[in-house]
Amino acid sequence: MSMRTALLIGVTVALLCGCVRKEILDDINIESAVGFDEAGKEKIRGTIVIPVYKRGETANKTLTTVSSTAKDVLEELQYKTSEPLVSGSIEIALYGKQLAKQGIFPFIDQFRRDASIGTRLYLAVVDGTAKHLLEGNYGRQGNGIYLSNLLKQNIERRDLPKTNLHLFLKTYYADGKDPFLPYIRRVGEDVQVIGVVLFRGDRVVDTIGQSDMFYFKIVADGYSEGTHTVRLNNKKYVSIKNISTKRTISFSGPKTRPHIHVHIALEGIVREYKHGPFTSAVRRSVEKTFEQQIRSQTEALLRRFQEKQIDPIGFGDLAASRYRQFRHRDFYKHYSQLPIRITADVTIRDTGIIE
Amino acid sequence: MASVAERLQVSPFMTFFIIMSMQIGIGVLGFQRIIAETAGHDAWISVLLAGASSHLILILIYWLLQQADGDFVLLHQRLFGRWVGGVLSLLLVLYFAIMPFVVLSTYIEVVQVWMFPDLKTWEFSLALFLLCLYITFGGFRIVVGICFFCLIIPSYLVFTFWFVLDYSDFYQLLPIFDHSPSAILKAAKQMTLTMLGYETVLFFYPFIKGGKQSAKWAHAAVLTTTLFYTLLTILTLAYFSENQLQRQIWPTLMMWKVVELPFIERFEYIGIANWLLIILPNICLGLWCSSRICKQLFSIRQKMALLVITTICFFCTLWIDDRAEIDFANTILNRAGFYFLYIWIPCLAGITYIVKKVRGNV
Repeated sequence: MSMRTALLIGVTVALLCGCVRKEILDDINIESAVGFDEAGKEKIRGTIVIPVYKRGETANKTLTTVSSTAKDVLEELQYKTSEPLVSGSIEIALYGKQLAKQGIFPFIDQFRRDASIGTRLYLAVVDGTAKHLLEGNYGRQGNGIYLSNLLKQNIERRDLPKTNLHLFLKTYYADGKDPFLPYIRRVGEDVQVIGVVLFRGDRVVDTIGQSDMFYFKIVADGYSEGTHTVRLNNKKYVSIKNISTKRTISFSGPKTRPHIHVHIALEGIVREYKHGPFTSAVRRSVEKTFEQQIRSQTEALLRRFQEKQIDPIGFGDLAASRYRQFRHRDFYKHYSQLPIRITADVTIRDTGIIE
Repeated sequence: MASVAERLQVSPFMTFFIIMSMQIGIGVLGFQRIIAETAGHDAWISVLLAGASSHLILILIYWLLQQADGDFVLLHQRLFGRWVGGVLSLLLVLYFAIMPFVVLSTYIEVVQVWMFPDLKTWEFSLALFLLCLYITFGGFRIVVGICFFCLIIPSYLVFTFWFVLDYSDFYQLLPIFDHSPSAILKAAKQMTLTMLGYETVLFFYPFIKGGKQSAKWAHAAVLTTTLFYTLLTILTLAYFSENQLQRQIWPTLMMWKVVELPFIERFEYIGIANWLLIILPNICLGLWCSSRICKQLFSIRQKMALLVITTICFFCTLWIDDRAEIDFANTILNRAGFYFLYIWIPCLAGITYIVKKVRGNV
């Protein structure tokens, strides 16, 4: 290898660098959240949030436009900005309730196709309109980060079951499981998680309220770290924090009409009990009551899913992994009449640092 | 033994790196979809089967090399005469020459789709082929060095699949053997394409010090690759739902999309950039093999052959420009590889065996 060739290669490589288009952070608008709403017949209102960085905090700029297809909405917003919009760091996509009832898949397709968007993107359905929610100002880091942190901490520490773009698509395409998304609402200058919306295909068909989220998460995710208050029959109550939850779902009988058995084993510690000492008699009664509650609430939930013909827990997919030559169609033909038995086993491990 | 000066040879354990770096290539980004289409959640069994069959073929290859004193081109000529043997070897020149260009075209497509839509094919391909010329001009030892580093450096990528575990449902792999044996075998056949690469040993064998000892390293390489592919397949099957997987062109890249690190938002960019290192040995060794056969066939200088082949490859990458054509080229290459390894090598072994019985030597 002579010096001359080496030099030639070096020069060529150097010249070829920088041939692709640059995107300098200061010269682009980075979308951090997007929202879609229904706007009259066959019209869609798209809203995006762009963080505007100022000293110490981040302000939000929202842009809205109305168009006829999902794809155009975000494209049309380009006309309203002086710098190009880039979608690489969208943290969350919101869908208005009305739109979600008609199907949100057309508005997810572009995220799925876009190589620059990560699959950890959160999706959520808004009570009211996404536009109204996005126009608020939350937190110091801008709306996008605020909303995604809100969901993140509720998933990791509270009773919101795991969701994101990947999981939505996974369950959307799965034969034996239906998707669900968080349900949020703007309350003054705050945003609140108010439940979970359940889908059939890509349409919202049911909503679970805050009080049932705990039970839903236990069955859907198989774990929960939330705190739950158990009301004892003598008007006393005790607050219990979950330490570990284990959910087992087993099937027996023929594969077209299996008996489903859901067992929930839960271990918790006492967070609050202010009605005298927490004796072992109290402990036993708390355990019994909690077990009873888990059984009845979960049963009501699952019964509801059966009536609505939706399967957010994924019984179909779980059954498919237990039976050979499983056919989802046969399973769902009898889905609403399948007997589901629920058992619970609660252990209170300790009472905190006092006796 | 084909005469190769000792100073040009490498130690036997380098075979491990050469073969493994050659096996793991651009196919890793998307093989899961194809085998899962045939064998569903049992696809990982097919990967193991394909690995096992590779071991068998590798045993045959080593046996053939023993018979031919390490020179495969000479074996062709001794068995079939100067002309027919020459033509057969010429087909191999073609096979190894197509490889660099197919690998590079596929890679450029990935870069264009995922990172830089306005990247010009010729710019990238020119820069890369110049680099490859530079490497291959340095001789076989330099190519081996590249194989070594291009396997070691990107190996950290294995750990990134840790993040995928969070979203994996391993019950999706059950029940095992839910698909018919014929479906699993068919997927195993499709999988053999991704396992290709160990056939290069036929040509670099003379460059290995004490060639015979390299057999165990070659097998170790095939085994490691098989295990890696099995692991990746299991993760993929657990991460995606079955219908979702069928909609991905590059499942491996999609899996990186869920990786989240404090200092990097989109990990797949790092992954794709690193993948250049993984395909570099593919291209270099492909060029080296084809030029080496040319040298033996036509008694020309290897550098001359390299220049010609690289130039042709470069113009071929310009000529290809959409996914259908790239897919077509990939299919052709894979099919050729399959027939070469699973039809031609056993046939050749049979013929050699008979000739040996009749003539007493080959």
